Amino acid sequence: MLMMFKCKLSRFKLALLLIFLLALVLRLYHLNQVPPGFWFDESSFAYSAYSILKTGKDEFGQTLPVAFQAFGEYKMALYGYWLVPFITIFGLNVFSVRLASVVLSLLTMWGIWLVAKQIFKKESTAFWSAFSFAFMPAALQFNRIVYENNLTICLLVFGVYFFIKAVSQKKSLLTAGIFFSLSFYSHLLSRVVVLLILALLFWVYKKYFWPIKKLKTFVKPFQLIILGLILTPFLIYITKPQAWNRAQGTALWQDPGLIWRINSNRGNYQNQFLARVLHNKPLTYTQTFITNYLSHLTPKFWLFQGDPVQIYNTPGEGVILLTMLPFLCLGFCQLVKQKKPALVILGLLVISFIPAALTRFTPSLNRSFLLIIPVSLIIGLGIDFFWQKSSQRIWLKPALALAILAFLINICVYFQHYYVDLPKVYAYEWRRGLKPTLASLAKLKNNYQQVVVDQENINYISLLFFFQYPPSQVQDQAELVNIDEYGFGYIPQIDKYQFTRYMPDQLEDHTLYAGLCGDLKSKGTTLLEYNINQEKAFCLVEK
Amino acid sequence: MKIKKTILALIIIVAALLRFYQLGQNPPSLYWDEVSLGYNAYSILKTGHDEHGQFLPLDRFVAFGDYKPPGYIYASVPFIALFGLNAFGVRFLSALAGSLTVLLTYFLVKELFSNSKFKTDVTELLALLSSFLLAISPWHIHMSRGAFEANLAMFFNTLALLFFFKGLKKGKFLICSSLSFMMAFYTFNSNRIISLLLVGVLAGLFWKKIWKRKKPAIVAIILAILLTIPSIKFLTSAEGGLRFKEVSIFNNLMPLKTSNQQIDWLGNTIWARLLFNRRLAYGWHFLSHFFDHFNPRYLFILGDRNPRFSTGDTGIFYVFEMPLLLAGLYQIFKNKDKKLWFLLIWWLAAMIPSSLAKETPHMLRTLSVVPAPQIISALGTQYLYNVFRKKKTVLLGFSLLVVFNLVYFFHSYWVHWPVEAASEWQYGYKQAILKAEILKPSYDQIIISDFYGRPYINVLFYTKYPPEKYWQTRQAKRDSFLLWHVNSFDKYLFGLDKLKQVEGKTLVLAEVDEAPEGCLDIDTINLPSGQPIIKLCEMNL
Repeated sequence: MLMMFKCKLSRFKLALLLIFLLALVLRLYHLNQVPPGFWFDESSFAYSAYSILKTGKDEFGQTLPVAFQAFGEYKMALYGYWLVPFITIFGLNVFSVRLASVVLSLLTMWGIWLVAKQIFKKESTAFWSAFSFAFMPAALQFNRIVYENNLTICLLVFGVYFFIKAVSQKKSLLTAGIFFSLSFYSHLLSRVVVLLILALLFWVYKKYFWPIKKLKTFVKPFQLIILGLILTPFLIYITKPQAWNRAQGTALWQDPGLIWRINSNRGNYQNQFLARVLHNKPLTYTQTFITNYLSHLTPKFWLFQGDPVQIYNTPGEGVILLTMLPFLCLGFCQLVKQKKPALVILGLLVISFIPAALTRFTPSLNRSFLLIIPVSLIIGLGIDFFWQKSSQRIWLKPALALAILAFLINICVYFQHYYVDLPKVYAYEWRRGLKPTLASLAKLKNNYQQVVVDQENINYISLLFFFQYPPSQVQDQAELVNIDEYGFGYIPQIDKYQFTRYMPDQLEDHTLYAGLCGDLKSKGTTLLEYNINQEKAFCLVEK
Repeated sequence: MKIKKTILALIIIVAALLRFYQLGQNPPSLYWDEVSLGYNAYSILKTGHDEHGQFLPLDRFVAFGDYKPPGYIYASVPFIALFGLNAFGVRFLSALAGSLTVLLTYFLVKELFSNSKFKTDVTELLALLSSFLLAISPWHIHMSRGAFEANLAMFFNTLALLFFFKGLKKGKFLICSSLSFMMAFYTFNSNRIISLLLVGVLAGLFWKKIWKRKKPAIVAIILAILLTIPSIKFLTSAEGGLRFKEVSIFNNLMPLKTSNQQIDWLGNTIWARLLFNRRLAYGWHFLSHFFDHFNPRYLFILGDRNPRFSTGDTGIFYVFEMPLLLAGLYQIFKNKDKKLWFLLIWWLAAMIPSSLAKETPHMLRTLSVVPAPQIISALGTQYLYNVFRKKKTVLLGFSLLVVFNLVYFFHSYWVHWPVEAASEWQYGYKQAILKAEILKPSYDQIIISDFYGRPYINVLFYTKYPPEKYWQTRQAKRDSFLLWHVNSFDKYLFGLDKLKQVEGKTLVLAEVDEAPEGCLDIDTINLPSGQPIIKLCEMNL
């Protein structure tokens, strides 16, 4: 009997190991080429981390900042520090920094497995939750790029895990606290999400923490001091105006169109009182918030299109695989029947769309990335339920076979969409060919007094990244100019490199121009052409 | 018992008020399909022939060449006789069917839940709630206030379901049910498929009970088959398929192209051809259109994209129905009752024909879903009320939301929408044509611009032109899509290009911006918003 149990357990561990390996393979396969090119946000994080490694300061000369200024949007910096060891070991290249995300994604997967085990008290459900994470298009999309929400999700999933664990093991609450506090340093959206998650968790488990006397048994003074120390730099940072730059740039109440619409609606009335009651700011903002929120609950978002921003999406795929839909529904039905843990998962799902709904650009997968956690758990629950039912009831066997077949077809089509279609369809969006173009530029640069680079299509940060430009040289000259309506700017000049959003009409002597062929080819002699896709190509041109 | 009857009567009165009040004025004008239905019915009434002179067509009316099913036209003949050829007369049937559906819903729910776990008084409550929710439903109000064939078909569909569930107890009602399904079949194109699908679903779910009523069931089936005979020739003909081809997703070559390209990228291997074959691609396409109907923006926020079907700020359901629907679905999932599950399957099945078309989500083509969502909402209401019975603040907050939603919708439906959507409803033809009719004797010809499309039918309708005279004088031809283009009849010519072909004193009706040069203004027709839309002017050619 014991032998059997042992055997079963090890089989389970084996399956778990296998699914982790599979997830790793899916995330490592052609990591350099898919997504193609290297997006500017990725370069920005990588270069800031490189700068920290070399000089202890970011490229703007800030010593160990809480947030990198980047393009003016102030990215929370913790993810940059996470990149440092990877850059130390593997050097500054596309693979090494994307690998940092891959490692985080495996940690997240482990966290999901732990949370599922903690909540459902069943190994099999935990296994299927990890499984559904491994194959989720939304997860893979971000796990393979340099993006800070990978870190946030990882911290949050462990925060939730240790919080739930604290119910039986009091000292875990400190660990949970540390994870939640750190997540403030990883992403803007934590400022909204963490508070909501904490409120949710305290509410669900209120009988352990309420009245306040009970809470005291969890918290010791030295713990509070530790958390306080961790949070201090953040609390100081958020008093500065730049901490809210990006939030201001995207918030829904910053949309001038809404005010305009209210006023135009009011114009239709003779009765100004009625006009004010029916058309006013609180009502309009609420309406917009609800509309934004609901825009994430569309089948288009979940199954067919995903995030409308092209670099955050795989052609033809949504958040989950189409064949996971029945299991999502099944899992949902199962979840509703359970009491307490269900509330945590449902709550997480509800919370995950709130930060995105507060912005103007919806639906948005990168701002609602938290959904990865509850959705993995719900699908895991659904698959596990179906799997068990089908082993009990003979008439469900054909359904199981059909589901497996459908899943296999689905997964093949998905791999095609991701590994084959994405690099072709979104070649320009990802700026395929940046690396070879910049490599050629590096060879030619010494022949010219000046190099003019297209900021929109190549970007100063890509040049810094691929040239491994010495950060100390950049720090003296770094100043952002031409800040646009969303708060983004760029560094106009670094040594002999000039950056501009618009290529000049007349080319100058002794100058090399790098940009799109469409802008340059007709104006001078083309030295090199690198095709991005059928329509667009990078060109190096002199007069 | 008496109080329940009073409540039911009140609900019906509310429903009728919401559907009949100012029926001729809001929607602000008649759309060409309504005009065409009206004139064909008028033509049948006066001559027994349709607008093209065909004697009592059974399978379809040619109309514009879009082949309208005959149900609405025949059924509205008595109302045209009664109220005359005007907006109220044409729309009366739809509003009547809408009001009666509210009543039918009451009986349908009672029939559905008669042998279920619900007690009699709960069933009664559910029935009243369902019919009330239908009475105030934005979706149903929109559809009942225009001459929409879909609305009449949906009435027959509900009637057929009511008869079916009655028939499970008393066999002879099965025959009535089959008759009603066939009525729906002959009233709206989508219902040709929906009727078939629903009969299939009902047979699959309740075959045991039907088996007990073999004899009437067989009679019902034979009757249904006999009734399809008149339409078979049309449905299998090229003309019958044309309309479907025009709107169908299978007409879209995009999936075919992508799947070919992908097979190409993978080097044309067998497994690539299997995985990326076009059937799978079209299946995927169908699913994406099917799921379009679950977009919350469509359901709760904005409604249909077509401004004729929506005020643009209320969905096909009210926001307050969202929790009700979710709770109702939860009730269905929790219970193993087949009749409850039928509600959900009905909803899904009735969306299939619409999902085969390019424009989704579509309020009109999916109308036969109603009143399933309302019944599910009622289930949810009953459940949620039991949960929150003692929480006064929740109940109060929810009531406020309900009141706010209702005020908001009715306000925009009666105040903003008739003004904003006037041009979508082709406002202005009526006023312009009536003016032209007065001026007609002093002109050699009248040329009417076709900027709204198909002006000839408006002239026939608003001047109550005798059909026989129209057949004699009309000049018309069919294009390659089998659509009819009427160039002229009597003194009327259609399309501004005719200006070059005629001589003499001419009255021109044109959109304000496209009026020809040298045209002397006589009058201008304004939209309700005050914006000028149609100009009447005089030219000597």
